[in-house]
Amino acid sequence: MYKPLLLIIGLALLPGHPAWAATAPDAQALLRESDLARGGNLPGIAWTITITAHDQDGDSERSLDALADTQNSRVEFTAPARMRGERIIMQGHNMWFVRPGLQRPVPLSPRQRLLGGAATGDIAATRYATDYAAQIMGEEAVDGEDCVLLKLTAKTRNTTYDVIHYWVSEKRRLAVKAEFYTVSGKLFKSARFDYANSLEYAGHKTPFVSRMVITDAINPAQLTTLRYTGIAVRQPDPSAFELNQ
Amino acid sequence: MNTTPQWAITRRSAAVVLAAGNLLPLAAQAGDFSSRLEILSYRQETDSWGSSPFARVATLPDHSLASELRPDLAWRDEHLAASLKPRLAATQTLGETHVSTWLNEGWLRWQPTPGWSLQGGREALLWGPAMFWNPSNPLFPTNNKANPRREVVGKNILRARWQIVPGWAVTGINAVGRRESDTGPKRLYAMKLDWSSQDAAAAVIAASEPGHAPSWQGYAQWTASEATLLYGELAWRAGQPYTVANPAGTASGWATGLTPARRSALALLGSSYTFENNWTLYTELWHNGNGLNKADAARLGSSASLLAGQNTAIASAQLGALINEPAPLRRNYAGLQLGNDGSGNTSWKIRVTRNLDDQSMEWVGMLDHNFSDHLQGWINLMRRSGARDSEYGRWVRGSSMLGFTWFAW
Repeated sequence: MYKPLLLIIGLALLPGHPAWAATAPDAQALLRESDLARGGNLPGIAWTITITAHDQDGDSERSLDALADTQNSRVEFTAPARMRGERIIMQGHNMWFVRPGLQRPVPLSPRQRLLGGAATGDIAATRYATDYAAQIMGEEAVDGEDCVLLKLTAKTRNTTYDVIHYWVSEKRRLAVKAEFYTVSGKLFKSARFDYANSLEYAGHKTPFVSRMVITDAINPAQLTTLRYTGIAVRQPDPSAFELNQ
Repeated sequence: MNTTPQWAITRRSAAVVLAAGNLLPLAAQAGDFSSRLEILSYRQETDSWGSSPFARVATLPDHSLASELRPDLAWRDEHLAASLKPRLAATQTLGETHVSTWLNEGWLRWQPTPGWSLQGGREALLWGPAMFWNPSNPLFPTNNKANPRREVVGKNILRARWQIVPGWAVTGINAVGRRESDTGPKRLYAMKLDWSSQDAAAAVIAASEPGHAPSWQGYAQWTASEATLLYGELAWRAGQPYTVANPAGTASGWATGLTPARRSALALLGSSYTFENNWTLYTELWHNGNGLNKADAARLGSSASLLAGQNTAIASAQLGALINEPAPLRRNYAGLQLGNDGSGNTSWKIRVTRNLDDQSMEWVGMLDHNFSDHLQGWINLMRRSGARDSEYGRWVRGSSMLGFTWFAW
């Protein structure tokens, strides 16, 4: 009669049982905290991104100025010369591409690529806590740093990625590594993050993303690096995200 | 060969172009100033149907050479913004060189408080998610999607926009004029209500031309998945009068006349899907209620054929009138567009339009290649097929544009 109870107690006391489970952080709260260092949960933010793509054809580089509020993002290319003035406007998951000569906004799907391995969704402020349901899968060290491994599952079908494995530093509460999967469970790219920038917000100085390196899963030689500079918390005028600007 | 330039520059546009070079750099000292310069050079060839009766009255030059200088100047500070896009073009065709300047866009915007903006000047105010045709825009009857090298010339517009709450905005628009050579209404009043949510966006537009009944337009788009977009456009308005040929007791047996501009429905349904290799396929079906019905189209075809065999002096004037019809000409169409994402150095696009009423077709292919960050080479090819009296089989059989664009900065 007591056998099942003893079995349960015995299993719970096994050395292999994850001790962190008892004190496991709230997955969604941890995700929300980590979003802050990638531009999410701020009233507004402006930054400059330089994207460098390296593959078998050589290197190519693009620079853009980005502006975001809690719902919308806008990026404008400043280099190279042939892309100068091109814009991508994002209102929620709706995206449009505006080219100076073309004039008419062209709707884009989140899947459409920007350069190399960077999707259009990668350059927007990160709001994973809004778009994904987080679930703790365990803990793992990344480069010697203890991390909580989260599985992020898209809440809707129109997010840029279906499933993300996301390593968030236990101590710094920042995402340090990500793997991006298709619906069928196929890994198609991974990313690493550095936080050499800092941001002053609500009286606190917090680290902010300075570099995201994306590696293609099928062709590991294809590397795409996003560098973030000139970060400023700034509430943009709503008209900044109007299509006919 | 006569290569004397024939200047077609108005005093007003020349003054604006000169002002562009002088005033905005001065203003730059007080705000953010940016500029870009594009120089295009291209050769265009046109191939007409040999049997086309229209060839008698309008001989298209079989080739032309053109260069365009396109500077874009922009300035903004906290409350004000300005844009100036003067243009200079030189075209050599049939041994003559034509030089022209114009102001494509030039406007001033004032944002007195957050959420409010007032804008006045010349602009190309384009909207609508569809790739082939945008019936939701009563101001600009055509977009430049079939040939993105050609810019849509702006109209003189005053507009005020109020962002009511996040996701809702209303814009009052007053179009006060356009260039004589451009199409579309000269004066128009419109109210546009925009809505957007996380996954969808829509707009409703009520518009009125002086002396005409109001028209209603709208569009909606939905980001259905990370790869799929669904969209539609609708309009209920009077079309432009069409030229048709009617039997008459004239020497030719026909007389051209204008159809009444009746109100009817214009609708488009479309979708796009981005494949895992990042190619995107657009599919669209549209109905143009203002287009010619089967009987009018048959009369148009047979009268043009009959006029082709008659005395030039009698036939030319009527043939000339029959050439200038609005597009799309008929009522039902289907369009497909497939292209890559352009994130590499080479981008391409194929567009196919089928007139479902007369089964004629138009194929367009576009290929761009970036030789460097400053130099792009491109080629646009267009080919048409169809019966002699069909929309795409009537006049032009095909065309090509081969050119280079130098992005100076």
